[in-house]
Amino acid sequence: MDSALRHKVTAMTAVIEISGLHKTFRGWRRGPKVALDGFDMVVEAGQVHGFLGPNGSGKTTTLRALLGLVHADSGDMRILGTTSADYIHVAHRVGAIVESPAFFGNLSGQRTLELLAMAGGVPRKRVEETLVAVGLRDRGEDLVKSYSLGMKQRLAVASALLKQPELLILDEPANGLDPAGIHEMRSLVRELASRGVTILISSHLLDEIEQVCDSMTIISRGRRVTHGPVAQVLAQHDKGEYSVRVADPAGALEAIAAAGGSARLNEGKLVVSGVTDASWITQTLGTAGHWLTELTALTPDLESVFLDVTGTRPGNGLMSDVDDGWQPPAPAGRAEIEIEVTR
Amino acid sequence: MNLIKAEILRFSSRRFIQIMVVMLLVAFGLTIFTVMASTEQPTTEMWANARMQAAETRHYLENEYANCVANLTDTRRCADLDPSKVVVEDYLYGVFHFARQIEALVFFLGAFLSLFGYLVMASFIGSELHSGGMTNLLLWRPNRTQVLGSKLGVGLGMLTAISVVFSLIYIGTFYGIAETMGYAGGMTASGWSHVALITVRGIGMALVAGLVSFAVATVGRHTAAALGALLGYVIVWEGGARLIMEIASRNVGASNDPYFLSTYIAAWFAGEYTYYDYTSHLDNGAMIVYWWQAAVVFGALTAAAAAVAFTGFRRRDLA
Ligand SMILES: Nc1ncnc2c1ncn2[C@@H]1O[C@H](COP(=O)(O)OP(=O)(O)OP(=O)(O)O)[C@@H](O)[C@H]1O
Ligand SMILES: [Mg+2]
Repeated sequence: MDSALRHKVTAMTAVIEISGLHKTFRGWRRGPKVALDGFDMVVEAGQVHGFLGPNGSGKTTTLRALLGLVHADSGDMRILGTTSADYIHVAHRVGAIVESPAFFGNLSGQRTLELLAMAGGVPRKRVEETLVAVGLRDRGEDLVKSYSLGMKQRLAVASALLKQPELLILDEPANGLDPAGIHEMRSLVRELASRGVTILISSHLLDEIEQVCDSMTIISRGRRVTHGPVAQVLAQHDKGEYSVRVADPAGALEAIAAAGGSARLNEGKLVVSGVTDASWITQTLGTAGHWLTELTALTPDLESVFLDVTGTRPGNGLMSDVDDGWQPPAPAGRAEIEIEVTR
Repeated sequence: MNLIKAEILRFSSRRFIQIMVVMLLVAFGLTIFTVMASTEQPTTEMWANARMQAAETRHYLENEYANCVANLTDTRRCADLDPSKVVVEDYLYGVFHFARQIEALVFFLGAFLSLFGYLVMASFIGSELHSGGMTNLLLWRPNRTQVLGSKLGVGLGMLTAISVVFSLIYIGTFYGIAETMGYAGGMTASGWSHVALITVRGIGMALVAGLVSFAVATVGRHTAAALGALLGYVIVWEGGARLIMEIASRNVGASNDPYFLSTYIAAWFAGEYTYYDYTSHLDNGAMIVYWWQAAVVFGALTAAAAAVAFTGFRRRDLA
């Protein structure tokens, strides 16, 4: 698709559009902290969009800014077609949880939801329905302070679902959920998506993101590093590597090298890289008398892409420090965005 | 409208507020208990005694008063000696005398209600901001001015309602005690309107206290901010600064009373408050602060507090 056209199409159906968002927190003790440094993001209608990034990269800050909880220093945000100044008028169509919200401990879960429902003009019977939907039917009347971490998280999800939103913003929704809870969360997201709800999920559970998301944005130190449909992002980072099992790996290595390819040995297998067509390997090795017993394409998984693009791949066995990730150069102008879109 | 209904429900569901209401009842119960424990229905013998003592006092004061009026130019200072002010009921000992004692009790009530208002309003906003409940609400209703405004409005409204109901029960109970176990006579229409007036002033004080603490807790994002501000004000300003001003003052006899809120609180409750500033030659240095001046001070204070709280809250980044 033509780049300009594609950009136009995205813009027309985008539910969330952020460009050039800047936010600096000014602390009077530690000085200013740049949380967002020209961040861009587009979420299209009907998508499940994954929002990934290392700790402290600015995900929660972005979501807070979208929801009007923090005031961005500069940049444009559009949500459901309105500017952030008019967010008030679309807030009832947006359900959100931001960073494991805290609820008042001395109220029951049900009461908490009822008060929100009342404030938002949502019929009370929705409370019962959402409690059932998140698996808190029997514990709804218990005080929130008696809930476990996962139960509080379920309550948070319930509060986001209460108003039957068109756009659902979930900041680490699976935080503290048990395996069944994560599974149910995945089904819930799929079900909502099938009903046309646009969902933006920030998460560190890359498997989950890979399973449920259509597209994604990866942020590092306040700037977007990668974005696009999940499959496309993975394909972009495909280095064309294949794992090959042969009887004599060392000999095969020489044969590849002799034919002008590059390869290395890894755990008794041969890893051939920079290959566009796998038949080249079969042919080269076959001609040299090495018969393949196994040939696997080493497609990158989201984890390795994530670690690469954010520069957070663990090295020396120590925990890498937050804020040590890679920061892409600042976009020079808006033109660069278009180039990124076509990539 | 929905927002207000939700806030009313939230106000009444809050544990701390429920506990404070109970505390208010306990304080009230203790006052009643003390009064009841020290009163008895006056017997004919007690009446006879009282009449006798009143007559004696009157007789004694007649001379004193005449002397006083003859010797002083400012006869206002003799008012305490005026024999026509001697009342028989004042000589009934161990009897709860409604007309005479209700004023002090209503001042008490005003103080209770003010403290109650201060604590409840601070907690109503403070714990919500601190716990993140406010953030959740703002996800539903992003208009911050409206959200904070309804909270303040509902808080003050509930405070008024609770105060009015309490005051009625409080005064009614004491009247009942006077009727059955003490002396309820001597209440004139003007006596009642005075009781009503000071009750209203007490409730007004509670609202001022509530609004100020709400504002401080909003700015400080925590209930404790309001408690700290109160303690800090009392210790640092009313205590420390007063002491320093007195020591450092070059003008012997000058008064620093106008700089302290306690002066205006006293004026507000009592109608007027007199302090002496001997550097002033007007009226022997007697300076009077009237209740309306106190009202102006409180009005300015609450307006400033509310303005700071609302502008701050609109601009702030919420966690
Ligand atoms: N209220 C605040 N005051 C000061 N700095 C803040 C504040 N909130 C966030 N930050 C800083 O902004 C940066 C981005 O934080 P943010 O919470 O957006 O990260 P995140 O991507 O959500 O991380 P995580 O994966 O840990 O949730 C961090 O460096 C953080 O320290
Ligand atoms: Mg976060």
